[in-house]
Formats: sequence, C-alpha cells, structure tokens
Amino acid sequence: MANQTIFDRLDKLDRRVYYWLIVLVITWPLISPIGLPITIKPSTRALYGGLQTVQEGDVVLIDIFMSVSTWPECMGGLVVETNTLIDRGARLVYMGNSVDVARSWDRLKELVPKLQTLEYGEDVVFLGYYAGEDAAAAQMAVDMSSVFPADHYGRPIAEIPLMSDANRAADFAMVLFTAEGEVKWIQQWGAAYGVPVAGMGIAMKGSALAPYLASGDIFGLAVGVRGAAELEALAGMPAAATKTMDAISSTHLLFVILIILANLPVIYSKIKGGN
Amino acid sequence: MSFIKSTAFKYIPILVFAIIIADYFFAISGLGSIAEALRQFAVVISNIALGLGVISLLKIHGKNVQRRVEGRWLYSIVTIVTFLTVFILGLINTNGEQYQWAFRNVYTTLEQTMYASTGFFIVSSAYRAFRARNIDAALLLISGCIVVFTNAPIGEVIWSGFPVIGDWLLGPGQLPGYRVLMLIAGFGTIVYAYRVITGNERGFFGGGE
Repeated sequence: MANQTIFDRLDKLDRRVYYWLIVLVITWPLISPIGLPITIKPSTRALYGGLQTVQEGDVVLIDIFMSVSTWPECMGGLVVETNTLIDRGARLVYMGNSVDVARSWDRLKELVPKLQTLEYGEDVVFLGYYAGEDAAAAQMAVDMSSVFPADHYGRPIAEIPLMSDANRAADFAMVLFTAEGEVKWIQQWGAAYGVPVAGMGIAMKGSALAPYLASGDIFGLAVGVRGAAELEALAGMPAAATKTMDAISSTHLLFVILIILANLPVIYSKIKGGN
Repeated sequence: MSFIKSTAFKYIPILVFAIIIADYFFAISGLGSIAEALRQFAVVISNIALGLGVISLLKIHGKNVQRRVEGRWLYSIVTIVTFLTVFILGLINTNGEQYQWAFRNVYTTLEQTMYASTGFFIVSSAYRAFRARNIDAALLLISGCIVVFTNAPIGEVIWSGFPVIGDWLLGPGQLPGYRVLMLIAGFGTIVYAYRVITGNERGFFGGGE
C-alpha cells in the first residue's frame, strides 16, 4: 500500500468518489446558476423558423415518442413548440408510440396553460397511444380514423370536428417528432406525401439524425437538453432546459477531467515502457 | 397442415410484400384498398403483440415463482403483484384516481430515477474503460471529448475552437460513415425483401432457414 504511486491510486479509484463528485457538480449549479451563454445551432434555428411558417388553421401532428424518463431532455422543447404553434393559431393533433404517452400529455398540459384555453376537439386533440410503427404511420397517412377509431378519452373520431379536417397526410401542414421514432414519419409521410417533418431528438440521436438533416428529409432539429434550451432562448421563454444547461456544463467538464485522470496511469506506464 | 406450412406460408408473405411495395412506389389504382386492409392487419397484430407480451411476462415470472428460482422468485412475485394491481386498476378506470396515482407517483418516479442513475454508470464505465491504449483509441477519446465540449456551453468558454471542430465531427466528419451504414441497412432490407418475395426467407414464421 505504501509503495503505491499516485497513478496506481488513480487506476484503482473507488467509484464512490466520482459518484459523489457527480452529485456535487449537478447540485451546485442548480442551487447557484452560472448562466453560461448558449450559442444557437443552425438546425435548431431552422426548426424554430419552420414553426413560424405555420399559418392560422393549419393542422400539425405531434408525435410524443418520449417516455417520462426523457422529459428532462425533450419536454422543454415540446413546451416551446406547443406554445409557438398555439400562438400561430395552429390546430394540434397529439399522439404517441410510448406506453406512457398519456402521462406526458398530462404533464404537457400542466406546463402549457394555453392548452387548457383551446377548445378540445376543435383546436386540439389527444389521440393517445398507437402501436405498429411504420405500418401505423403508413395507414394514418391514408386514413387516420382506421388507426384511431376514438381519441384517448374514448370519443369517436367521427364526432371530433378537427379530425374531419385531418384524416390523411395531405391534411397536415407538418409533423413534429419528439425524442425518437422519426424514421417512420420521414419515410411514410415526408417521402411519400411531401409533409414537412422536423422535431427533437434525445442527445444520443444527434449523430443518427444528422444525415436526414443534411439531405433535407427533416427541415429542423433540436438535440437534447441543449436543443431544448436553444428553443427556449429563441422563443424568449427560458425555463427548465435553460436552468439545466449549467449542470450539463459542469457534468460534462467532470466527465472529461475524469477521462484525463483515468488515462494518466496509461500514459505513465507507456512512458515507463510497460503495457 | 403441411399444405399451410409448405405453400400458404410461403406465398402469403410474397403476396403481402408485393402489394405493399407496389402501393408505396407505384400507387396502382385498386391496390390501395387492399394495401390499407393489410396495414390495418399489421396495426391490429401489433396491438395483439402487447397482449402476447403480457402472457409471456406472466409465464416467465410464474415459472420463476413456481420453481423458486434462487435470487429471482421474490422479484418475480413483486412483478406479478405490481402488474396485476395496475392491470385491475386500469380495467376499472384508466382515468380513475388510483390508476393515475400509481402512474404519477410510482411509475413516473421510478422510470425517471432509473434513467437518471445511468449517468452514474456512464461516468463509472468511462473512467474504467475509456483508456487510450493505442492510437485508434486515443483518436476516439479526443473526438469524444471535443463533441462533449461542443454540446456543453462550457466548452466554448474554455476554447472557442471546440464547437467548430465538434460541429465538423458531427457533420461532415461523421456523415459519410453514417450514410454508408444507412445505405448498407437499406440494401440489406432490399435483399431481405427479395428473399421473402422469392420464398427463400422463412425464418419469421418459425420455418428454420
């Protein structure tokens, strides 16, 4: 034990040390925010710009693919999207391929009080959960009522005025995906019917969605908490995502420092000529 | 039965594939309604699969309890009891207070806690596994760290070059590789479809090869 060098100690560092460090670097900026500036990426600007093109009365489909675990990443952006679309006078159709989509819908209603002021069935509809991925999206493109005979609350689609104007892909001005599940909309609605597609991905989806963005299959993209914070900045409504960005900064910095520390023993052993 | 296995199972997928593909690419009149019906079947089958999942869950955990599988059977009891409780509450009324309470205060909190705890595991695994033992690993590590600093505002504060390099890595740097992967997957799907159409792909209905 006495012969251990600093590099040996680093190599065998107790994981509780960095677990506690994570707790510290997350809580500290939340208690005492730093407020580092955020540069807005062109893809986020394009998403927000696309929302601004929506005309009064246009119908927008919003696919809430996120589960409650991805709220911190995507809910902030969904709130901005919803507020912006309501301000533009759009009519909104929500649905989701995540089993807890109803919980996300309830949370969204709590975070966007304006949703409560809209007339349900005329300006906004929540269709609920759907199964079937691509097959469901392809079928919705030609006949929405065959996938959703009723909305989430059991009200028949035929009795919902908004849905009589929005029963197939051509009736929609735009599709917005949330978190994941973007490919089915790109392939079944975007490519097949020319409906503009955009949305928000969880952070790890950023690189996977980049080819679709570069090819123009999606017109805009906000990625992770940062994307949500950028949307909040563009809309001038800083909220949860903006507050979280300092914690993102501190944890990412810790992450890199730990990687550097973990590599010191490797570099040291290489200098010494070991393995 | 042998006729169904040898002939019907072979030709039904061929027919379904042909109709769906023809409807998507050529929009042949008269084919649309058949394709619609097939897609509706797919949606219905997807919903049935959820029920199948429930049966599978009860079967696996029921066996664990029945056989008192060491280190598992107690958890299986918890799983079955939780499932049945929420299932019954849901059957009574999905908008009821009890069901909503379980969703809001049990499911939501547990799901978020589980997801948040992955942050600790990511850091732990990064510390233990992200070692630059050779040039390739070192390049990967450096690129990763630059992308990390691109996504966090602090990166720009430390050095304004981080987001420039990071955006290049996320854009032109990775696009060719990712596109190749997507194209390979696309070609793979075409080959798979061709094998189904020609009756050579039977694995999806338990037919072996």
